[in-house]
Amino acid sequence: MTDQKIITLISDFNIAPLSGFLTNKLKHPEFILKTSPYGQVYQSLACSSESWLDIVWTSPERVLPGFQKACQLEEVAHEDILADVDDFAQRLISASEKRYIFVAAWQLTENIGYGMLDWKNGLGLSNLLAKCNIKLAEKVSESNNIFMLSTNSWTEGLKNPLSKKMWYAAKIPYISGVFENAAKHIGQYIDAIKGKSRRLIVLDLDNTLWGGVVGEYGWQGLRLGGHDHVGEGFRDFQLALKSLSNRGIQLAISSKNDEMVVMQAIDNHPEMILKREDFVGWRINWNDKAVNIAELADEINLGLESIVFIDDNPAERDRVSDALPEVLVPDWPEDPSMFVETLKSLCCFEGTTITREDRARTSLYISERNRRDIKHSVKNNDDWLRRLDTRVTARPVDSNNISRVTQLFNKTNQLNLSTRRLSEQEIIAWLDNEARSMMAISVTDQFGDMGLVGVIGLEALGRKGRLVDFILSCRVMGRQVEETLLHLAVSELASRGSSIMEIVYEATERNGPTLKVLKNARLEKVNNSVFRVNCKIGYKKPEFVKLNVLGE
Amino acid sequence: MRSKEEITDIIYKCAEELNRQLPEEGKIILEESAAIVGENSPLDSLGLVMLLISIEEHIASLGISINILDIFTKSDEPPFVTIGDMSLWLVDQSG
Repeated sequence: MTDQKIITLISDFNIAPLSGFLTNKLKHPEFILKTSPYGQVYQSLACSSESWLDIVWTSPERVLPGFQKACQLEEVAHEDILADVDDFAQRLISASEKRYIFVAAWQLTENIGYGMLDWKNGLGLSNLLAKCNIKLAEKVSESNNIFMLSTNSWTEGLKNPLSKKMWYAAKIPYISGVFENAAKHIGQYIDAIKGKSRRLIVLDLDNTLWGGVVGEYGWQGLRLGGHDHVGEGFRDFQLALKSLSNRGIQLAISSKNDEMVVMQAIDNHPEMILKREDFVGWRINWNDKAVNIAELADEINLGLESIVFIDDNPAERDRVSDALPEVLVPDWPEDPSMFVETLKSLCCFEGTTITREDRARTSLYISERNRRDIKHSVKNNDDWLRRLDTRVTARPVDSNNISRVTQLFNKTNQLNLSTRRLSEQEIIAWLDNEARSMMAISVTDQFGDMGLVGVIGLEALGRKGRLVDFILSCRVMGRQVEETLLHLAVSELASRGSSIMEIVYEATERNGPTLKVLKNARLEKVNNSVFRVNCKIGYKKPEFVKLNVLGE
Repeated sequence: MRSKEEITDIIYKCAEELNRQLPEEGKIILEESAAIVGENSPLDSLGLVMLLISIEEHIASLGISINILDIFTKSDEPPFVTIGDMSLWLVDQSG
């Protein structure tokens, strides 16, 4: 089975509990878990070349020679230990050329320490550990394939995370709860690499985003912020949601209420953190919430598997999880002081990068709403396209844009010719061939910058060229960007000596719109899934779109 | 002296925790007659050590201080084979 992915656990302690928890968490034949020989960290990093992901969890006193002496409170130059960190990081970077690496931030195990001097610069162990972790984080940031994981979240909330007895008996330094937490987080990080994170939170309002029922008490009667322990819980929950929104997670509302009353509350309540512009959409009516959520998903062009639904009402939660099993519907506490912790514990909003597009995602959707409004107000489609003043910029895929390109490869469903799900390293490997090229497509119009929204991948094999990847975010669908990309692809292949561009459509459950684009374009249809263009004749660029091609 | 039920509950709790990291075919059955030691036990030596230490740490919260692992490894014959045996043994030890 060629698609199987090997995950190698590398540690200088007995990591069997993590292996067990992670095996049960992943539960998918796609993954094979291996554990490298105990204590052979450096050798394993150099050897596990077949691995798709290495999880490296070490203790500073065992992996850094000088740290052990520091733990015994011997006089050691911190600079020497930091040089060891540098060496360790360099080995991780070398290994990351071929695979992903998760490296756990170091933690101190039991030691006598320096007491009140433990943070003293150049002396204390806490001071030294912090420096080592920062040095490691800075160095491994050079690689896009290495992710340094915060181990604090694995031990947080556990009474006694260290177990000396387990260490003496089995060389396991932690209680099983630590490994269970680690497996939960690592499972989510693996999902993130595979592009399976949740991207939209659909929220109820009454007793979820604020305390009380707005339809009964009016916005003045809501419990939100102020000198009120309940109100502060709701306010903090809104702050947490706002933070996620800043990270690119979108917010929407599904509430059984009167829309006008709700908007008055959102616009006028002085303690509202979330404003209208923080929501990409809403359905405030008396309809079935499952229907509302399905409509929102459709409007925002997201799959149901990208959605989390939060509602204080168990009956509504039951209805939605029953009707839309792909939507994550967490059990929700009644006590608002638990809301932020519950949201955090979902661990489903991970991302391997935070791109400019992620941070601006909500405003991009709001611009999109404005575009749709203009479309309704003009006489015909040509007028609308002219008024949009769309500008397309194509630039080669390089280290500056590959994170976002990888995201598009793994997230785009509808306008995606072959739906190849490629990791960053797989894209780089594919491009390591002179016959191949890939361009990143950015789009702007009079309403704003939509950012990097498309990718085309080309292969010029002598006379016959091939459009391998044609990926475009649905946000720019239907405004002739599709045809502009066909023009660009044909021109590029012609300049590389191809006389024909072949396009092979590979159907999936969700890329029907791609076939529609191909059928409507001026292409020679070879059969139901193969299309051609004569590169010598070329493909006309749409009149209302400006194209700017930037070189290498 | 603690009751057998109290101690059995702790053993079940520890076994449940351990089961979460064990494969389906290697999980401990939560019954008094289920073997945790010997050829009928699903546990390997590491699994058994983890279970014993976990039980030891949990029963300490009841005020019972027994070095189960140490007694077990020093015994010629295992002092218990099943969960039920272990409960009775611990009740006896706690007295």
